[in-house]
Amino acid sequence: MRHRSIVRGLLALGLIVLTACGTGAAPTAVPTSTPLETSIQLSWLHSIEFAGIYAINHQNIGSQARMTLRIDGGGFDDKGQYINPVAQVVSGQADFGVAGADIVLRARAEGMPVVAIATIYQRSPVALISLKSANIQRPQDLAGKRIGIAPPGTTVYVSYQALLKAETIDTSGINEIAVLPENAVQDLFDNKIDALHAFITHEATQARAQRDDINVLLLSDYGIDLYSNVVFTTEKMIAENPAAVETFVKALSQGLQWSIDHPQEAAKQVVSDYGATMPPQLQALQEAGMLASVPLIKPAGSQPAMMSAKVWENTQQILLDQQLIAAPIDVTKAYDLSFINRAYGQ
Amino acid sequence: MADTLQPLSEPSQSSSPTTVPRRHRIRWRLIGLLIGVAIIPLLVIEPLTLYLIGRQSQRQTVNQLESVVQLKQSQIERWLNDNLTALQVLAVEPLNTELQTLLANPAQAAAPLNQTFRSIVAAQSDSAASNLHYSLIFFYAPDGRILAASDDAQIGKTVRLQPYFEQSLIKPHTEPPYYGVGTSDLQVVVSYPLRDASGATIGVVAGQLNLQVLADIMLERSGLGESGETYLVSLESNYLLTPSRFPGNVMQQSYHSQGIDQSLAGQNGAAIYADYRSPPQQVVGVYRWVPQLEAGLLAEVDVDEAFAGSREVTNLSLITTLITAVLAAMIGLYAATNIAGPISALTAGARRIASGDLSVPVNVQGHDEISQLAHSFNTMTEQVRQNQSGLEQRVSERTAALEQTLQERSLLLKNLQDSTQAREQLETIIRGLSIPVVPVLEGILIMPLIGELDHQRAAAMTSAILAAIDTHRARVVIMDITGVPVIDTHTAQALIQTTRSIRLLGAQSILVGIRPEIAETIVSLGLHLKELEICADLQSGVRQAMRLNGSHGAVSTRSVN
Repeated sequence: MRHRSIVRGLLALGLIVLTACGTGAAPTAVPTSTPLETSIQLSWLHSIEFAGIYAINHQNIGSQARMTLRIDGGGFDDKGQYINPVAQVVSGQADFGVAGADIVLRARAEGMPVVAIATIYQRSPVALISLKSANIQRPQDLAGKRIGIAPPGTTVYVSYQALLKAETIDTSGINEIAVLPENAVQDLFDNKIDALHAFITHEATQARAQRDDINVLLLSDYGIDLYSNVVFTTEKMIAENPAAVETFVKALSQGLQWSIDHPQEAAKQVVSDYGATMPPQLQALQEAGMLASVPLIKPAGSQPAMMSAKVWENTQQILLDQQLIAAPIDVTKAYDLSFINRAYGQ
Repeated sequence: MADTLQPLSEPSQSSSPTTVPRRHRIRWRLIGLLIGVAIIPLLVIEPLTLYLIGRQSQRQTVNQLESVVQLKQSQIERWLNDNLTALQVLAVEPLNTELQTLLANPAQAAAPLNQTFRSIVAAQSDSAASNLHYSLIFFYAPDGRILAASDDAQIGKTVRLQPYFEQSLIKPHTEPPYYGVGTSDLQVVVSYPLRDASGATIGVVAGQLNLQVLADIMLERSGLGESGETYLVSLESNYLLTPSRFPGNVMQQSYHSQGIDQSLAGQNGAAIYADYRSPPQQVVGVYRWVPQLEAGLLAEVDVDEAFAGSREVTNLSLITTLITAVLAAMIGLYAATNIAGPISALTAGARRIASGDLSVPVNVQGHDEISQLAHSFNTMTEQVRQNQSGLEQRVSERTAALEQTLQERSLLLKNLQDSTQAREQLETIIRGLSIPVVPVLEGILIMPLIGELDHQRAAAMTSAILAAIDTHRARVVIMDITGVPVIDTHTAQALIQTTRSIRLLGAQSILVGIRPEIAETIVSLGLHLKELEICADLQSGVRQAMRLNGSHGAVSTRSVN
């Protein structure tokens, strides 16, 4: 499995070079009274992270809503270029996309009319994993350590930087080391690094599957809580075809609920449908990844796909602190809670 | 009922026109009736009994499960309350005083807050009276930052995103079980806010409960039999909060059943339903909503086991019912035979009477109503038989008288027939004498007619004269009507017909002896006798005949008839 942090890095680079600001073809407007054909561009390779989206199709949620959903896997194209979900959606190649909340805010700061309408994970899965022998139990323990990092500009790296700032960690002694995603966990085991940027649903699961002496330092335990995979569309799509957006969001919420109701079955389905694109050792980790995803998808007392305005405000503040956006934007235009609220009858 | 009552002989079935079909016989109808009377109540009572047995068994099982659930719920509540109380004891007295001082003047503290906190917690935990059995105890500021904890790794974290955070600042709170981010463990957090003299919250002391205790409570299976279990299901995604005792049922999966769904809807109850397993098993279940855990507490036992006892009783009841039914049938058969036997005997007696046999009485024994009826029947039969004997004697006498009368009448009839025959013979003789044909000369016949010439006599006359012509080879016939008192149309026609017949034989006829009054009558009637050779009298007729015959034969004196 490729390292997720690469996605974020390439996405950040993609954002810089993106010039198709709102100039793409308009998404097809489909009223709910007629069959809806729509599509979504994932942020990365197929994995258990998107189980709720897959469920729309294999659990016939979409067909019951008269919706046909095309799911485009992420990663890299034939030319080795990262498939940027924001660019794909803005250019009209897909109606919906998946990206971190920080990516959406930065895209809007650059003038791209993207709007988040739901989230897959309501809690950040970003963590720093280490061997217990490294004795990294708190952020302060990172001082002087070798950290295998995600590419700068990615949600993971932004979260990491936010942690360092929030905990006033002296970064001067920290040795940030770029790692190849396919070797990152092994690098940790081989003592090439002391800690590693990770998703608890992916790299942490992978590490725990191999060793018991793994420490997981969850960034949300220190208040760093960015949405890592919001589902977004364009302002034009919302304006011209709100019924389609609403249909999709409702189907997404149902798909996410199904995935947490049946985590084992969801994992088997992912392996069945996309196992061919995964290394064999990762196929066996899909179930553990799904179980780790459950509290992220549906924290206690919440409903799947819900978002909080406060998290968006915090995210913008983090971006401002890290000077990833030059000035505050109207963050309330970056997300629209009305669709998910209507999905739950609110 | 007759004690014993049997017919002396069985009547012939085929000889009786009133043979009763087997199914209509009173014996079989009585057998059917008595068996029905015996079995129908069983058919009604047995299902009711089985239903009541099943219901009683279910009630017993439910009562037992209710007791178990009550016990488990009490254990859960006591566990939660004890831990909350222990936390409260820790927070109110030793901790609150010390922490308030430390937070107010951290510079003057003899030891860091965390150290003080841990020493107080340790002292409290070591107390024999303490129920402080948390896996983790920590203290956090109102902003959520953990300032002290029994685990150093927790210090510095924030609980601001935890589901209990906001409630914990307000009042003592127990957060229902939830899966924390980054762990695979369920967590139950009990919290108690600390307040200063002004009532402001200076922080919250919280503890993470060891859920193994909860699992142990649920997995204790006393009173649940072999297939029973108790378990908790969370309102959060319908996940199991305690492990299933049946393999293959992971905790993190949404489970549904009638009991689970009802309890999570806040209802308490009991029912038979398909449980959460795959494939589902029918269970008797008792379910309750446990608000402190926001979970459903269920106690279930497989129906097969729950009703095993009642099935034995049910089987025994069915066997008893079957035996009772057979006995009832046998008694019914015996009783019906005893009742129907005498009636059949009476029926046979009546049938013999109907066929005329009054000689065989019905054999009667006993003193009941049927026996008395049989006695009366025999008396009646004897009376009928006596009446029949007198009647037969009178009929014989009358028959003899009738036979004598008949013989006399037959004799009279024979005499009458003889007389009639003699008369007819006499009439034949007379008729022959009334039509004489006399050959007077060779070839000449004279037929003197005397008396009225009716139709019958005319025919006889024709026959006689034709026969005579043939016999005597006559050529002339003289018909003398001197003796005929009257000639009418019919007589004239007869004469003409006779003349024609004579002519057909090659002879001729001559009519003589027409008296004047006859002639006058012939004329007045317009009769035409031109076909006849007529002479005035016999002499002239003889002469004319002789002329016609051309011979002088001697007159024969022989009369021909």
